[in-house]
Amino acid sequence: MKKLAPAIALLLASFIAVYVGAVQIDNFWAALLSPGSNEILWQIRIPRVVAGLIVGASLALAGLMAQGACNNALAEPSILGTTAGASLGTVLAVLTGLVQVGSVGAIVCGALGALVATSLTFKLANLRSQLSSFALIIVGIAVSAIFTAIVGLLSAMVTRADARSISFWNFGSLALITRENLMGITITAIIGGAIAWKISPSLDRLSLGDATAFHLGEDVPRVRFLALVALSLLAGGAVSTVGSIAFIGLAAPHIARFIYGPTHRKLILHTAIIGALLVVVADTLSRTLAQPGELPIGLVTSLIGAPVLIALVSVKNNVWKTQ
Amino acid sequence: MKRLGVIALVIVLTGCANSQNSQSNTISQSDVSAISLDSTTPFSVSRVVVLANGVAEIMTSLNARSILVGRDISSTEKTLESIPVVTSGHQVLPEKVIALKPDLVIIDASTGPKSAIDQIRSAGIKVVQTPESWTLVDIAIKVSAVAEAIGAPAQGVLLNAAIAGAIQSSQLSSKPRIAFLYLRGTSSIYLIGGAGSGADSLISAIGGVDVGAVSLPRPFNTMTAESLAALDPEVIIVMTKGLQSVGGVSGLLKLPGVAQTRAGKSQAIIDVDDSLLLSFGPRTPSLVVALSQKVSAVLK
Repeated sequence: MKKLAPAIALLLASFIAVYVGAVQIDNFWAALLSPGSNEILWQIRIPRVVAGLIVGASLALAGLMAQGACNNALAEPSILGTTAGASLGTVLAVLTGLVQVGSVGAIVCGALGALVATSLTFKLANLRSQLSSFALIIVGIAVSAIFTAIVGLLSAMVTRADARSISFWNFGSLALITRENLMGITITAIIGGAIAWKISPSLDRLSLGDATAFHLGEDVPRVRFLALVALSLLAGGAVSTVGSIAFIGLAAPHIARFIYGPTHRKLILHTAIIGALLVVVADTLSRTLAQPGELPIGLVTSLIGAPVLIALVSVKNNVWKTQ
Repeated sequence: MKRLGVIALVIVLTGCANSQNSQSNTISQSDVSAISLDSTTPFSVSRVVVLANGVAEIMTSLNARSILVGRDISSTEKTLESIPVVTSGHQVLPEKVIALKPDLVIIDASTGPKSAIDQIRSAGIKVVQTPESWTLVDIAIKVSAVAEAIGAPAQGVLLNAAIAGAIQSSQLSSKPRIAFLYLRGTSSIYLIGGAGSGADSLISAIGGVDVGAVSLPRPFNTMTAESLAALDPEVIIVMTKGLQSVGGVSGLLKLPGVAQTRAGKSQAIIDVDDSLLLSFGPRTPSLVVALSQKVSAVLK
């Protein structure tokens, strides 16, 4: 029952997310069972909830790939510079006028930005010696700060609505999601998830250390590269469409490890479910707590995710040592 | 008793002057005219700097432009272009004000910084604070206060009478449901006007129903897709630069919730010059007429 709890909670949270909102839907069940009958439900609320599910799963899997590739419990898209790279890639692409936020083109550019930033972090952290966890985190924070600053500068200097605001890129928002945006993030989630599934046994071996993994027959650079590609696709798709939503990439994999153990293949599905749950709950709270206004979802995810993580660490502080 | 010259009320209601913009649904500054007095009267001051939004416009309508020697950046009318600006952004530059040797500076509650006003006062210059105007009702109070400050209260009475007379004739019979959206796409600011936004009084004046004022709690409320779709306005009014900031009408229609409204479906979007829409001064009667005509046109 404990192992089914996140999936059951996700179903419940998704239903509540579809049921509640700024507007009470008349004849809710009839509207729900008749696709397209109610514009608010079918064109605004359900696409937003679906986007929350996909984005949450993507960010959570991105975190799992980051931690697996780095063999580092603190690694996650925002710490490695992945998120900031995705933001910068998207903003630069939008400013050329060739793509719009939420389009497949913007997602490709976001994923490329994510890949460039993450690769830069790895390259710089690896300059003087073997990849150390400490160097990776410090360099990642620095790269992230640089890319975030450039996004801020561009947002301040170029007054284009379609480039969105710095608060969007820093705190994220599902408020501007439309049905048309769902296709792109679905594609990146499927491709990223498939790569993650494929390399998950290798990530198990990588968690024993690079040398051990090598002696177990793993092509460590290849596995790490594929994990980075998956990470960039997943984070790039999510961030380029809804901005940066904090904490999901860090909290969801750890919560999943606590419940399901360290095996990556098991973790793929469960991490995605927990990430989707966190984002859907956070988005429901962000659009209902301060009605008729909305709270930034990034604030809500931090407020939910951080205490959960602290509680988990307090209860079972050797959760990461099981890797 | 002031000696009043021949009074000519120049009321040019050019709502019909939309021939240039019949397709764009834009109301620009050139589409409206201010109500002005042609009378002459002596004033109690001779050099006035205005640092309050809309006061320079009122001074012009009171036929007191000759004593206006400095203005704030928000006074954008063409007739005021030759008057020096003494603000940087919306910050008052005291050195520039004092250098103009005014005998009166007019401010309002929004004028700042306070230290700059204190410096102007310290230089021995009289500073008068006039009320801000956020509704049609406020116009008369503000006009009276400005007229009083420059020593021409009778001019204020005349101007108020002209403005009140002009506002009364623009009621639409269909009572269309209208929403005012305040947009700043570059900052991701999307707000729906409610009771007290200012736009609500304009919408009432043309006989429309401000759907935001009816059901939303604050003068400006966060625009969520669902709340806008539920309000379902027939017409949406925005500021011109605000509309540009979201990428024009096509960009506005891409914001979730807009396309689901009747206004979105029929593209009944009217944009009004930013400095004109909520100016609540002598141009407002002309604006009300122009707005009434635009709303009728987009509903056809």
